[in-house]
Amino acid sequence: MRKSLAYTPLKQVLIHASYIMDQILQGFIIVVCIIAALQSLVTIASLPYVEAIRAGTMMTFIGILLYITFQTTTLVDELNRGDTMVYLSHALTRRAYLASWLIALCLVPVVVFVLSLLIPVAIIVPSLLGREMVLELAIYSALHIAVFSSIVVLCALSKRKGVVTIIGIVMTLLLPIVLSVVAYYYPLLSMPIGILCPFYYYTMYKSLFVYSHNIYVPPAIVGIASFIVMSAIIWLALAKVKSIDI
Amino acid sequence: MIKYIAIAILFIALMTLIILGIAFLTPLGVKTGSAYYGSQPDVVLISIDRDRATILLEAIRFPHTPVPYTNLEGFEESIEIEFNYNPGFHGLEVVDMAIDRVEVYVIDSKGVATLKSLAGYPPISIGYREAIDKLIKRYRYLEILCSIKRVRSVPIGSVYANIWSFKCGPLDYDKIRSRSRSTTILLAVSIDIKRSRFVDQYSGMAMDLHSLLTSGNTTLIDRALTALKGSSQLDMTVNYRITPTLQQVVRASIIMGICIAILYLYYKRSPEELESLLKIFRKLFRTKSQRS
Repeated sequence: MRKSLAYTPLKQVLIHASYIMDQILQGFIIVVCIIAALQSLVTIASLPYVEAIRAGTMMTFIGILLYITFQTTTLVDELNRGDTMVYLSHALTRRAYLASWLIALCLVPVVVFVLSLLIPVAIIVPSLLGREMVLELAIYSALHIAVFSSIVVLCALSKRKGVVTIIGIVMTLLLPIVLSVVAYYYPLLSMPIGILCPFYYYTMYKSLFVYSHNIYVPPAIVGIASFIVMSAIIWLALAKVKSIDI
Repeated sequence: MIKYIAIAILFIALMTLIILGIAFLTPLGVKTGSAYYGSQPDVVLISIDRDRATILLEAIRFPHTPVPYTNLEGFEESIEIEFNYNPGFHGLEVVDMAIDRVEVYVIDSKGVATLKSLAGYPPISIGYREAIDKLIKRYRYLEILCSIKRVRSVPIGSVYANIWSFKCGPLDYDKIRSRSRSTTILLAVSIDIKRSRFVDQYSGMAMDLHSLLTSGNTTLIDRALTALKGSSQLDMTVNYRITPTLQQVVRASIIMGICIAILYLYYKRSPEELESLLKIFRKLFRTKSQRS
């Protein structure tokens, strides 16, 4: 009987995900420390004008996206070198293999980034945790990281490092500029771009720039669309991994 | 996977504590916000004796607080007020004014209304000290914030002959923030009238303030009082300092403690994994000579 796409042995996935995290643990700890220090600095520097936390978070956000891009090239290396065959020979299915990388590159960075945003606030000024702005920052940054990492992991299945690097850098550094320009001249076109970068879209929507009133679609709708797109990309990646040449 | 999240939370809490400590110990934790408030002095009361005349100037009305969130934990606030006073309009130019004392008061709107009703004509009908004492006894709304003994005169070009600049602080922000709906800062400027001189632009006559105020010429006295109102410019600077509180340290410690407990329980079951984790930390913190 053909197993559905949703069937992925969870235990295998978690074991392999833990193995991946062990491999990248050193870099992971360094990145966590840097992001935590920067986010604490942002929180302290913003107070008592708490709205400034939004602007400062952009710096750490770009850092985590670049980290995900860099770590995804490790997946490409594994696919090219043939290390993947070793894991697949140990009763790990292809989908489980990719799902474990998605956990390491998508779920863990999402959780870590949101925690790096919330824990300094919880320690320094816990009364801000209930503020709408802080919760919105957490939600939209989580969505954006999830969309971003699902796209770069899908690109990693092409087995080309250059593709992953270029897509990662373009989405991290160029997309906010493109979004700003498009939103200024063609406001309605900013929504399709915003689906790929919901955090950038949200910060721009909330910014004090004069043209922000031109953006008609609220970030919540863009966020829902991003979630649907992310789910579709993950589904596509899990389907595609069965057919690639490893 | 919980292990990795616990490690991440542990490091996040640790870095937050470190950054808090750095902010407290370095200028990183001190921030300055400033706001400009221009105001035309409103209330003028004058008392006069042989040597001194004292005027009261309404400097600034609150709430115009520049700090929207001032009740955040771990913040100490101090305020400095810089007040630039330029007397001498309406035909009387100040050529020399010897200000030997400025006192800064905080007063609420009821106190201001009382002062206005006390400031009658002729304006020297009531003494400044008497009015202040009445207010303190009846309303207890008047509190002195600071007292400045020497006042600097700052000549700026030919447009304004003299500006007297007062700086006062750091002040207790709670005393300035309103206990009632609105709060006002008053300046009591004490002038040495024998050393202070005016020039009347219409007659060209130069006179000392003592002669002017005791001349009995109500028109001249009126013009002198109007000139003493002058114009004022107030700049307020609010300094904030981050001061880590015990609650912040306790919160961070609780978070780190929970993470350490989770990691302890995990690695107790798998001591070989603990060894590989410690190996990673050794690699992270090895010295340069050890690397080579």
